[in-house]
Amino acid sequence: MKTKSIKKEYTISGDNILEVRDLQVDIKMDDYVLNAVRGVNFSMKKGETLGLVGESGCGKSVTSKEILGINPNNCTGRGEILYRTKSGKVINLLELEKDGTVYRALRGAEIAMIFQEPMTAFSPLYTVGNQIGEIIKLHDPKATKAQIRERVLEMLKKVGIANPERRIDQYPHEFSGGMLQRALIAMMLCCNPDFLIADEPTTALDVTIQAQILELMKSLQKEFGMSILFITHDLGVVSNICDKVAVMYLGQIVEYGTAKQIFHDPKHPYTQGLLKSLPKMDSSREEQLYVIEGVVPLPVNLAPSCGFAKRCPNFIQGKCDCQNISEYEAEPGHMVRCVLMEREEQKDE
Amino acid sequence: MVKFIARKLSIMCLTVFLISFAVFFIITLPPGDFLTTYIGRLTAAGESVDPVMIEKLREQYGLDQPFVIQYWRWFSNIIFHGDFGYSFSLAMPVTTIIRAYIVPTMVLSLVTMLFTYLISIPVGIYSAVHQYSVGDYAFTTIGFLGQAIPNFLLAIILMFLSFRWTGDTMLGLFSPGMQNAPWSMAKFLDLAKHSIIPIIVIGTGNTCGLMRTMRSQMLDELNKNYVMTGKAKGMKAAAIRYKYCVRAAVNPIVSSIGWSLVGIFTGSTVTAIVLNLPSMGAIMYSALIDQDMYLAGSWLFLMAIVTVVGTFISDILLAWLDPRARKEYLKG
Repeated sequence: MKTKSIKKEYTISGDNILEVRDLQVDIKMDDYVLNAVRGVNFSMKKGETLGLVGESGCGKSVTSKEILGINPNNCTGRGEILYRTKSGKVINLLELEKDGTVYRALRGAEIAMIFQEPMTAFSPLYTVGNQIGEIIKLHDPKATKAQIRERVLEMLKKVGIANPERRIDQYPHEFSGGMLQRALIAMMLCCNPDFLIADEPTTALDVTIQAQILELMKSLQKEFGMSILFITHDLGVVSNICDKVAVMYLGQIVEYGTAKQIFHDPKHPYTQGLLKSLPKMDSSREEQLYVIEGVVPLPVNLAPSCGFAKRCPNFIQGKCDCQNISEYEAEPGHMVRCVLMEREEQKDE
Repeated sequence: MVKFIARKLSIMCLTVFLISFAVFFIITLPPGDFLTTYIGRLTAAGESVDPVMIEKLREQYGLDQPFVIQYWRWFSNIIFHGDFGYSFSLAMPVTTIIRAYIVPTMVLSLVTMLFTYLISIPVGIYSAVHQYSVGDYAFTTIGFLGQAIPNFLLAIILMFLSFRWTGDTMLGLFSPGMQNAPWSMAKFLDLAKHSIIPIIVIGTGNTCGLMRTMRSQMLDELNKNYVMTGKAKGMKAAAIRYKYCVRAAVNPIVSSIGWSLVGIFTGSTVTAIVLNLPSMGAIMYSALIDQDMYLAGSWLFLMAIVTVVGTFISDILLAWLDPRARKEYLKG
């Protein structure tokens, strides 16, 4: 096996499976560079579910794909993504060769990913069984055809696909969206990964199917004991499934805490706005939905300031727009990137 | 799959029959027949025409019979005896002309097509995978040049170069001494040697076009989500490309085999004249002018058969490549 010699020994704290340290991802466009991810830090424990929340374009997908090393070639990542492999070794994923043997052996086997649009995540040209079986063949070359088929059937049953013996030989276009998402989950869990990235897995599905898929993921997590990084812009989904929540805005995590902290005591004006803009079942029709004014700026050559400053209801001139905002700890385990916290800290003193 | 092919074949036979009818109808549509044209030409030349003689000829060729009987005579002779009728203007059986002209043209066309695909598909893939690389730019430049240079010009240039380097312009499909010689290794090599320039000339335009098609198709496929899934599974990028992308990307090329075959077959008339190839274009032209109906009809009919067969081949390939197409066909 050809391996790049790993230059540094890395350590991460005890029961963490993943630590992302100061991750920055630049996307090179034709005539400018997009700073899609601008210094993201978070860590995940074994068996824990972290929700990564934010609007479209805030960098949550790029972050997750950088972990798996499947961003397009015009993306470059800097920082550290430390991952504890099944064998217990800690490696910096950013140092691995993207298409190299080491990284490929991790993908699918240890770190897996479920995508937003199940309909396009499968190639239309091969049977679903073939495409699921492929992942087993890749990571267990010794498995015979019969063994692979057996395992695929078992997985299909596990994700609740009725009549798997018939379904296994069908093509993706013969499946519904919800069924395909189940099949995709089956595929990605085939090799029993420790870490699963779910990139808006329910966004393209209708609500009843959404609930089924979430239930399925929860029960599979219990069974397989994997950690899940759950990316979504749907706060309802987050409250349903996540232990911890990270709110992303403009390539940075602006608030991080337990689901309870984020939902019941949001500190960052952006998180507060997000929660306020959720439609409520009991509100009257005349009541207007809360709207966060303005649009997300393009992350190109940003001056040091808070990315949310121009849209923030609590904007303070000379504070928010002239410096990069550092993180404050509002309470144990609850990080907020906002100058309002600075005042509170002073108040406390 | 056998059922599918059988169904396709039966539809194909029906199509061929209908086409033959349409072809014959169109050919006999202009007023008069070959003899009228013939008489006209003779009178114009100041020669006298014996009406009895003409009547006799007309009877002999069945030109006085009603359309349906004429058609049936022509069609049944083709089907049952392989006899395409008689060319009035060239005074020989159409079958002889076909053997002398159409067969070489067909062979040349098929080889050209093979050459076209063998070059354009790999180059297209390379260009897409290495988009905006030096190689991609080079191929793109060559591609546009190839599409822009008219075939006859390319033919003349290549003839000139060939004459400069080998002292032979490589006109025709055989060297003068070889034309009527019996088939042998030497004759075959002679044919191969003479085929190089025509293949390049006729194939270049099409190759360049297909190269571009393949490149853009491949680029589309490379950006599809299933590529991401493949990567997430731990597949090698190259493996994803060959298992999924290429198979999807050749789809439009495969589905156009039918008519690109005809395109190569007929589109090469000018080139054929320049290169002095024994191709049908020129003969067809005079046959139409002279109302030489069996020759013209047979030629059109053969072209139609080539199209239908080409479409048949592309249908089968497509069904093999793409399960969705297979399902569509089996249903409809």
